[in-house]
Amino acid sequence: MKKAILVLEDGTTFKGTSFGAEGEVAGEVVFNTQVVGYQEILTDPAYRGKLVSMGYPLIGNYGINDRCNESNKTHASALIVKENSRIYSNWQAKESLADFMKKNNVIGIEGIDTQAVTVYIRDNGEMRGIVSTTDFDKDCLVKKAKAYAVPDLVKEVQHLKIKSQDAKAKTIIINLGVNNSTLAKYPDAAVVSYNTTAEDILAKKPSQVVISSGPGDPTRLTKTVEEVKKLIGEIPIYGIQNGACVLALALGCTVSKMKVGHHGVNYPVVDPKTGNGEISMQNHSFGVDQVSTKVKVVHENLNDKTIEKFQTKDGQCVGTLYFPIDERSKLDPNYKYV
Amino acid sequence: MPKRTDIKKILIISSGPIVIGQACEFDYSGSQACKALREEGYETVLVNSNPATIMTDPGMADRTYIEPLDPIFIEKIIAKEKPDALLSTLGGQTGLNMGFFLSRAGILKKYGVEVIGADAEAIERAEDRQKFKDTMKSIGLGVPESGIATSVDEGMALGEKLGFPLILRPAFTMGGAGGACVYNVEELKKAVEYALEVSPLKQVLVEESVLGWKEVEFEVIRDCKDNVIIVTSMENVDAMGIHTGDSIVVAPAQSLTTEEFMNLENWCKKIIRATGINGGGTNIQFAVSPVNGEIRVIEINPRVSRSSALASKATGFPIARVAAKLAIGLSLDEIVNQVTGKTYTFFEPTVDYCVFKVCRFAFEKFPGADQTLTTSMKAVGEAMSIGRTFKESLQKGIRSLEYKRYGLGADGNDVPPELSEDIELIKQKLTIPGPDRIFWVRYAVKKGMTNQEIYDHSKIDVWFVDQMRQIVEMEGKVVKYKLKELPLKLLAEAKGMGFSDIQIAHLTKSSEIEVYNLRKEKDITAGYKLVDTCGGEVSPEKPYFYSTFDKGKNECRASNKRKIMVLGGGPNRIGQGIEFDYCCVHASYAIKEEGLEAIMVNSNPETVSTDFDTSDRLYFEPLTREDVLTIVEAEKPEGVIVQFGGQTPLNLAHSLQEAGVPILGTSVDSIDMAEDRKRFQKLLKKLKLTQPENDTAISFEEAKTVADRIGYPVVVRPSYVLGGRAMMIVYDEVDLEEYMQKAVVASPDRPILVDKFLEDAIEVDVDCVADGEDSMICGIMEHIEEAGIHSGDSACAIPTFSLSKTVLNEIRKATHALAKELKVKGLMNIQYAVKGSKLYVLEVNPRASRTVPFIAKATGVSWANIATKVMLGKTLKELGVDKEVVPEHFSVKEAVFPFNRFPGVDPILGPEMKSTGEVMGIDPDLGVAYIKAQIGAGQKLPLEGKVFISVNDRDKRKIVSIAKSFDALGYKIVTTEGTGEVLRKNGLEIEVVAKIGEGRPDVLDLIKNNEVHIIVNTPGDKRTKVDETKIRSGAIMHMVPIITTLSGAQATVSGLEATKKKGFKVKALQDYY
Repeated sequence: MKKAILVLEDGTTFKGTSFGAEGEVAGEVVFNTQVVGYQEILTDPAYRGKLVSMGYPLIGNYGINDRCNESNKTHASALIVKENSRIYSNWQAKESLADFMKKNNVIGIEGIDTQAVTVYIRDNGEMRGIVSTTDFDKDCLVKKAKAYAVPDLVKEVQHLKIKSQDAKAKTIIINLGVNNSTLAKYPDAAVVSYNTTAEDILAKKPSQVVISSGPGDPTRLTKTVEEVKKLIGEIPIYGIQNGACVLALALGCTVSKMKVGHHGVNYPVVDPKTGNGEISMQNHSFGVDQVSTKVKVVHENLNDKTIEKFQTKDGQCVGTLYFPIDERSKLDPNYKYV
Repeated sequence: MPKRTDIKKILIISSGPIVIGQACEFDYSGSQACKALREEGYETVLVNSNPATIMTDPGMADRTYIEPLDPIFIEKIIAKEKPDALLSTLGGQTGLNMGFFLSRAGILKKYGVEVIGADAEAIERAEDRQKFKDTMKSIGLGVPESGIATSVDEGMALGEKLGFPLILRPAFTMGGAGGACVYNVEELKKAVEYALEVSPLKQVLVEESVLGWKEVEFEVIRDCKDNVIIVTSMENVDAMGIHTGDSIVVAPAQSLTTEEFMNLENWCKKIIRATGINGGGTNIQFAVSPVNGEIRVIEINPRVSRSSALASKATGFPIARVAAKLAIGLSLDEIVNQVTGKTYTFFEPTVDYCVFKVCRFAFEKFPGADQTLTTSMKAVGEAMSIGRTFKESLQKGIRSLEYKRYGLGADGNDVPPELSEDIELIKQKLTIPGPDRIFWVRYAVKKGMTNQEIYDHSKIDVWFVDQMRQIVEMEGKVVKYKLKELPLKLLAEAKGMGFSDIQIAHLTKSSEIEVYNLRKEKDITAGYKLVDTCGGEVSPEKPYFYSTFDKGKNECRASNKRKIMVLGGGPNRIGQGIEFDYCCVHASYAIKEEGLEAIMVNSNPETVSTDFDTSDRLYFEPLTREDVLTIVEAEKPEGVIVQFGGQTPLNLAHSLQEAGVPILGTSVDSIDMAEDRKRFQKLLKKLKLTQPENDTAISFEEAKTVADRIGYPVVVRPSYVLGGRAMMIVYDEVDLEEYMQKAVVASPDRPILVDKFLEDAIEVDVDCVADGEDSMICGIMEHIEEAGIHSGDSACAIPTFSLSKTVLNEIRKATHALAKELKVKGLMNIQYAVKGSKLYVLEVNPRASRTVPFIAKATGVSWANIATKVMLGKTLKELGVDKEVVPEHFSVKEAVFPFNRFPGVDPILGPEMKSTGEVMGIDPDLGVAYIKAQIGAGQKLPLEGKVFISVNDRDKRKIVSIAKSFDALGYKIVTTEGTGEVLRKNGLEIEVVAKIGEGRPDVLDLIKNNEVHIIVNTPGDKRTKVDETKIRSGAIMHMVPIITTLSGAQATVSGLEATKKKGFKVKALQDYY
């Protein structure tokens, strides 16, 4: 079995073996606490550029199928696991995780104590790292990891065909890295690029605008923020995760990188006044720190008290840092994402 | 929402004795509930007939009733205590059924008691087969095609309609009792009859079979705000068709896609909402087609359960504690997750490890029982194991079972090649599941069967099969080397797959100790990781630990404080169960009271000892030398307590001591002195005590000589066995020859022990505590049944009722002398027999015994606590233990048997222990206490009706006075001809019924028609055995109280007499002492 190595930018090293594609890739290391969902994670644009460590040790058990893709290609740069299953077993499976990763050039490293990775990131914060099957010189790898500058990830996920020609679309989705789950919720939507102007959007006469989730640092999306500012007051706007961060910025709130982001399916979101809530799925490393006078906090994370949902006083602009997974969202019965 | 202030006093009905399908898990959940409710300021009233529980400690609830779980008694308790609410979802199916019954009978309404946790409607929607079906259909969820039958004809008609195979599920039973899988009309008829018999509602679901589908379970919780969470998923390695209690279970589920997962989780949420549970939890079982993902919901249990206990232990999320708090109106977001200490219970636990539940069976105790695993549960215990991978966890799980299997085979204990290489046998063993099927997967792999072929026969998912294949492949790599040449990398890999040192030693032809030492030298050792509820996302305050060889980070949190380690008892089995867990928990409490840290090691997920807050640190680990020693090396405790967990830790004492581990309490040498026959004889001689005449033999001829010398009857047994395994009373030479030839393999170092059997002797059990110098009697118990019945199966009473002062004093003297001579530090149990006025010592066990909790409840003294403190260095004087407690009231312990799980097995008692649990009856009157114990044990003795009496020739003289007493109490007497003749001669009016096969109606007809209400039938010889077995097992099946000993019959009739005179009264333990 071919060697592989994970080195964090502070020099912390984990040795394992290679599966999937070989090579070398740097990126931000995040941990995910889900038991299932590796296919969604690999294909969700919001994971673009990430080296994802799966805390749950047994990955690849049910293979890869046609139904679990969050987009038509992979986005995560590497998958870090304890054990990649050498066989898969599920009636829907079409191929193995390893083959899928090889085909899509996603580097895999297995034999890693991912529990240790989780705890390390938890205690020291999300940081850059590098996975390699070619270079095993720690100092050299640390240098490369430190040299990793997060590219314009949102630009990289503009691959979706923009359906803006669809004149009947009631919803316009501003694409920061929209995934299939979001698209499924808005069957009537047209997707536009993140640098579409407010004028162009309003010219389509939609009834609402959704700012999708996506990868990277939302504070870098200054152009999008400026355009969203112009939309405020003109039309109802919903923002999801990084989309919510963009909306928050446009509303004058502050947004910053969390020490440890939320990546998993078990986050409790509650109405702080009533304690009423639901369990949600989340994948974001940036959060809304403080809201401006224009908005109020509607939901928060029960455990770390971070802001999970905010809205303007007129209710026209709403942002959530989560996806709902409850069979019926009781926080908002007419729920789409917000 | 704030907790309710309109209720103040809450009644909790628990589950009673340990039986198959209902074990320690309800002590665990009930204790959690009591603690949780008291924490919130409620007054708690607890009723449970099982004295071996932690929950019945007088300190757990405000008012504790050890009374039968029977409506008559519960109503009396309600009338006396006037509780505002009843919480019935914490006591298993027994508690739930009782609550449901009380509600239906209007008793709750009469006393203004509100049901909390799950109301009667919710329970009905979950438990009533038709309402359940309707509810599921209303939300659009598939249930297997089925129909309800309330008669055999209806059942047969349904069978015709649905087609075979079929699954039968009686309503309101637990552990799948009375359930079956049938393949033809004949089986169907029999199974429907039986199912109707055991269902309290006389209702059975006849259901389309989804055999071979994946079986997936979820634990779901909902609060009054409609917040819903899924605690965990679990997947059965054994597919549909085997009761989940008999299946190997892995958590979380392994072979579902995200979409399937979310889909099932959303169904769970719909189901709990539709059922109407809004302040509690439920277990939901699905069948999922492996071919097209179709889903059927099989059943739901709207209460805490064995599965919820497992889910709690697997994730660290205390379901029972949370359920109790939800029942009084709190919501999930208001309850703190104590494991993390900083988050709330409104979240979904996640794991970063793999958990196994494996089952412990006891078929060896029930010769003739069908060992095929079906939908009716047969396992008596379980172990849970945790590892970072499936393979590590599986092998740890298997060695936790203490079957002398140390992993997936390759441990020197596999079946011989002529079996393991017989491909037809392999296929048969895969297809017809027995308790050892998993080892046959190994043989199949070794024989060259593919994953798919193994799946085709066993329906074990290929993913699981392949995981086992990987273990076998590793075995193949290791076996090529001698230990010295074994590449260290390979050794580390094998350890990472959960291979034990014993397996490695077997494969490399070395010894366990050599492997252990080599690993230590080369630093290939296990580290520890956490059960923290959250997959590492939050740093937990009170996690517990499991070992793994995946140790990028060792999370061991050993402190520098003074600490003591307690070794638990492992999986429940017959002879070793909750009683020992009770002792271990008390040891832990006592250690903490002394200001030291308590470290618990155990593998049984049902127990209180494995609750996250019982000890300072908990290690969820197999109880083997290797696993324990590794913890000792990590924790470096001042001492290890081995005398509380039953035989399991005691068996480790030697090897731990040799490895330099300080063993607390009575020395290993003293334990050995009591166990080694020769040393023990010397000891008794020195103390001028007598034991029944005895000798050893390794052949029939030798045994015959011995028996001739000491005289028949003799007790024969192999040396070094526990719980009376393969022990027999032999009355003549013919039986002796048969025993010596068939029963056991004897050898010079493992001879057969031949003891004189003391006929008609009174057996006495004594527990005492000693500090090395002084000793104190905890209690002297007089057995109801004569010597010869295993003490664990025998009813006994405290205080004694027929022993003279002289004999009692002699017993005290002997006990003190033995304690002193053996330098006992801690507990000791002695079994005596009294014949005439002569005292014999039968057995000495310098350790905690099964009766410790019973005595504690009878005397109001926590003996296990005192014993622990003694082991920690206190003297009895310092602890203020200076007077023997002889209670003024009577406490009777009765054993509870699993015969109803093994149709056709003869339910007679003997020197081999067969009971799974016990109950206690407590009353100022001995007779009433005895009847309470009988009712608690499920013998519904009526105060009038017909008694069927048929006894063997030895007993015919003595039965007369018993029959006369029954007659005097107004019972009608029915007998067979032989017994009848004797009774008639003695002036009794009797009805004679035909012997089986000699005309109709015979006694079986009477049993089936409910025309006899008590059966007295003592076993005769081999000639009569076949018919007697039919009578006795028929009585079990039809739930007619059956008494198989004369002494039991005498006690029963005296008890009934007392009861008729005095009636039943209930009294809380707190009012007794």
